[in-house]
Amino acid sequence: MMDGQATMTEGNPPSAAPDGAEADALLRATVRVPKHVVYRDFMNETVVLNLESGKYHGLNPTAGRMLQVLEKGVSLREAAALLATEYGVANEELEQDISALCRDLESRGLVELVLDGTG
Amino acid sequence: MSGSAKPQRIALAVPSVCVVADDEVARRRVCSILRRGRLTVAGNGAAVEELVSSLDAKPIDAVIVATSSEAALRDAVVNVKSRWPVATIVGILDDVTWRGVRELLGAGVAALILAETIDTALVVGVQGALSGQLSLPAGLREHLARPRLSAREKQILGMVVMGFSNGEVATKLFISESTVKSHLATAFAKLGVRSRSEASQLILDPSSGFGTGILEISSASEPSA
Repeated sequence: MMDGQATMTEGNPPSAAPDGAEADALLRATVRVPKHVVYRDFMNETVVLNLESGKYHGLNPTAGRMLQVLEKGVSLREAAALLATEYGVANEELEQDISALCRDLESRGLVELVLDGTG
Repeated sequence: MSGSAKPQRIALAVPSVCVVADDEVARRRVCSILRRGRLTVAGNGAAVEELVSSLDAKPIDAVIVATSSEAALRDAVVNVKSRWPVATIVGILDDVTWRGVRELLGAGVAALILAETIDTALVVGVQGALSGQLSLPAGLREHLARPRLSAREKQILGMVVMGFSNGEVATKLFISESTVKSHLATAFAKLGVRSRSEASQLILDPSSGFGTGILEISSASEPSA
């Protein structure tokens, strides 16, 4: 795992890693922040608020940066490539981290994953 | 007949209390009320330091502190606690705010009496406090229960706590800015605060506030207005 691995607080742990085909599909997906979610970057974390549940979630700076890049509409794979360069780590490592983060965020209703042919 | 039981004499402990009040007239009045209430006033002074110098080493059951502000009372309470850690502390104030009460209770005050009610409330407040009870002005009743915020008020407060402006909140929630202000005014009243910064501090400070859990929306939340 890279230094400053993406983490978030509150709620359940992320689900188990998907198999190869599923992982590839996820990397081709893009991310959309639903209307009931707002987030704001602070000095040491990004705070995400789910307006439907009233629950706050904290993202560490690495996870916050991932969300920031993903919200531009790029795929997870493209975001991972960009961030791998930014952080100086291997693409595969970042793809795993960003996939795990997105599954976690989706399980909490904080992002919607737009897979190929959906959305 | 042998061994007739003599009635045993039971000594009732009379609580020993001290009074701290910078206003001499107020101090004399408080001492007088306490004595009328059969409490032993072991000492009094304008400040905690003066009280300490006037006392011998007798144990103190309670210290009654009358000040003109919540902040002065809080400072005095800290001072008293450092000298008599187990003494019961009763505060007398002209006026109290809900926020101040929370802080004073946290600092160790067991009873708060409004100055205008000391003739009737002081002795029972001191006795209640010495019995392990809390005693507070009844006017604070509605503020002591966890405020029931509507789902909409929680959403708006949630964004305010994150630093969003009223305009940003209005845009996000598809409502007018005046509606945001109206909901905030209602929420502030329920929380007993006067501004967004006070509301944020109350919600975010775990020692004196509710924590962000108060903003969680469940089926128990009041419906949005």
